[in-house]
Amino acid sequence: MRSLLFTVASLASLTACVKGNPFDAPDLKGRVFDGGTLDITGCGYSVTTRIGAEAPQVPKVTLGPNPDVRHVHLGFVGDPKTSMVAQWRTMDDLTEASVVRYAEGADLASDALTQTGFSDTFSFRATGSSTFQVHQGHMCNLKPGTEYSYQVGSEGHFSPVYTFHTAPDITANPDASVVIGDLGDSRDGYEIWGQLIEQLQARTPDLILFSGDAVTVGLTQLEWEVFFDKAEPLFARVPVISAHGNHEVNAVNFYSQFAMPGDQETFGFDYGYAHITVANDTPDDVSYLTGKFADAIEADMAAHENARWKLFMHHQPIWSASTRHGSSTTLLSAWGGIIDRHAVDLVLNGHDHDYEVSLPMKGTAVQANNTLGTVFVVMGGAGAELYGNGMDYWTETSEMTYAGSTINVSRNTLQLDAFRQDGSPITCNTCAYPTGFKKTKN
Amino acid sequence: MRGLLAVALIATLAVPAWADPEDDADKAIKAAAQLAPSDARRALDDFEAIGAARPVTRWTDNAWEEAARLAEEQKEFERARRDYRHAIEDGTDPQLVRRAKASLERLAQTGGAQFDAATREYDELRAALTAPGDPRPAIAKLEAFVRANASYPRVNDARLALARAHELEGNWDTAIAWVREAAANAGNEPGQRTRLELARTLIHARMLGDAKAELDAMAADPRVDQQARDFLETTLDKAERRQWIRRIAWLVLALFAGAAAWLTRRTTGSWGATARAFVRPPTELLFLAPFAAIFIAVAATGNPLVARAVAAIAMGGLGVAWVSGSLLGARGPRRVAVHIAATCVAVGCVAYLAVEHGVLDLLIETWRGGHALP
Repeated sequence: MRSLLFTVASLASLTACVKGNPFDAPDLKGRVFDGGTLDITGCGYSVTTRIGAEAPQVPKVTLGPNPDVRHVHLGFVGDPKTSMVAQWRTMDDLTEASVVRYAEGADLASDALTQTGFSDTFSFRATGSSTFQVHQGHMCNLKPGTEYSYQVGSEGHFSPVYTFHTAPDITANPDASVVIGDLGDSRDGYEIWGQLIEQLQARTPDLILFSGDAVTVGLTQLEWEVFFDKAEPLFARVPVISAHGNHEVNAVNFYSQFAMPGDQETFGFDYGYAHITVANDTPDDVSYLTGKFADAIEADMAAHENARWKLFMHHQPIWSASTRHGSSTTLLSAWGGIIDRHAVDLVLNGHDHDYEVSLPMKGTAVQANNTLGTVFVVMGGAGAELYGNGMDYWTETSEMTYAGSTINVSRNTLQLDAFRQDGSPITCNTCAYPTGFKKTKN
Repeated sequence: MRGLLAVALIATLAVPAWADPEDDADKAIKAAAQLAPSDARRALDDFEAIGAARPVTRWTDNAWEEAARLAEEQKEFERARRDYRHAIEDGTDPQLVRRAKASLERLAQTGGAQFDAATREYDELRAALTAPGDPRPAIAKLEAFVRANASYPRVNDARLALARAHELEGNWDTAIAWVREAAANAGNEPGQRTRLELARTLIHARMLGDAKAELDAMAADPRVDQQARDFLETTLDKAERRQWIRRIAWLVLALFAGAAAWLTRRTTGSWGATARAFVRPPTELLFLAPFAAIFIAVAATGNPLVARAVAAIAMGGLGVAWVSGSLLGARGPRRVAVHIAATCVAVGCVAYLAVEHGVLDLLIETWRGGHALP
């Protein structure tokens, strides 16, 4: 009995460490880690941090012992046509000075970056007493479909100049096409992750969608460091949007290190001709799957009913023939109906570490062609140890391989091309077309 | 004459009114996009025709890019290069031009026109290697390809793919031979990935001494991605710890069997009688065997990795029960607490040996993060 009580008490305290709020007491520097909100002047949106992170603040001029910049990566909170967020850390995690400067044009010299964005900074801590300082630079009122050069840091310690471009305005430029990179599940496989990042970079994507599981346990910062290190050459030039994976365990590290719209869990945005809905399928409260999150997904899709192409990204696959996890019947019953009702074109998942493309599905039935159903993609091989793939009645393509993909989105075409880490294309020899997915509309 | 000129002028001015090139291109590109899934070759021709049509419209560069992508899909690499170059020359959208330039660079990485046939063959073999069914014919063909195309720029990728395929087939010696060959040919590859892959394969093959030697050799090499090397060092440390536990587990099982035999020998008085005492299955085995069979059958319907572990635990458990039951049968219940403790330790060792390869990490992750984590 005593050992049982001891076990229960130990587990309870462990759970409290992970899920509770041990941050309400200030640390040695007097910082409180219970989150907060800051309005971003000139951008029309605000940034909210979670429990475990400080409230975002206007930067000070304090420099630490090594303010050199690292982990530069892009994201967006507002409209990607007209805004971009550069996010970074410094070598010392003590520097509180944050500046982003930018100008229209590609590959400009540092002294040509004449505009300054609105910056904010905050620190977070997950386990132990180490804190990690995050810096954000918000560039707003940009021109759609336009290249900008930027650099971040502080006086004397700026990053190299990087170039990004904003999302196109399809009203003004109806022939615009965008390339979306899709990856997922890099955890503990960062050598492969680095190779896939290089392959993806060679395909010049405009946006990266990451379907979750960047790290093995979201609370451990060490793996996040390697994840961002390897991805920096691409992420500093292309914005990244990540779905929450089960391995992120709703850790403050995840929510602090990506700049994303809304509550960062369930949100939608337009990019070119695509409307992309993103959802967290492992929320703290499981009832959200059929309640709050299901409502948010439904509302977002309903509000963008006329979107030309509808993409939906979350982590755990509704349809997977992998020998490890397989299909999620929970998500099928929670979200399957929503996907069918709103005729989503493509669902992007990870979780199973293989590559799979489904036949067009509606309910649990295979449809005759992809104008009648939704195609589900499992793209879970961005480095994590591979799981066995499988075949089932819904399978079109299935391969146990490390892989990434690009999704070409134009007015008439939505096409997914997958590739292995050596760059070789993954083709589907038994399909009507050679790639994993292609859909056209008039 | 003046009348004729007037008619000609009106006709010239009237042409744009009923034949707007933008509208025509708009319709043509929609039609080609519709055609592409069912007839890629004709769609490719159509996209090229739209690209080549003059005057240049806002769809010209899009058409060249679509044509180039289709040409790549059809493995017509030279045609794809030509179409990407057209997309750059006629490009009005800087984003699209940037993409076309990057695509040309990407195609250049496969070695240019002289290697187009090799690229076609490699892509096909690479797909066949992981297609459902027996991979051995594809492995043999890819091995022949590597031997015949030693100068192909992606030949080292092919060697690594072969290593991976052999690893999945359980042919560790051949897998390691291929990675070694790839590492020997990697030269100044950025990060020295192939050498790191060699170390990883050696760890997985449980050749820990060789893996350590490889990692030590890379420790001071500035060309090596040290972050990746550090990760492999951690993996090696873990593998070494587990190797010790594995050895101890086997030793404990050997001691358990040895002690059972020795104690039985003391009771029966001869090794022949001892052997006879162990040949006949004890009663507990008859009770346990149906349960074990049910466990194995149920597990076989789920995750194969777990099923293998369940089968190993069930079979190992039957083995321990056999030894334990035979000993009890020969000696009767003596020092029951010691007997139970020794049997439990033996079962623990069987369970560890069953889960160590593949399932142990899964169990640890599940313990740490709950059932949904792995």
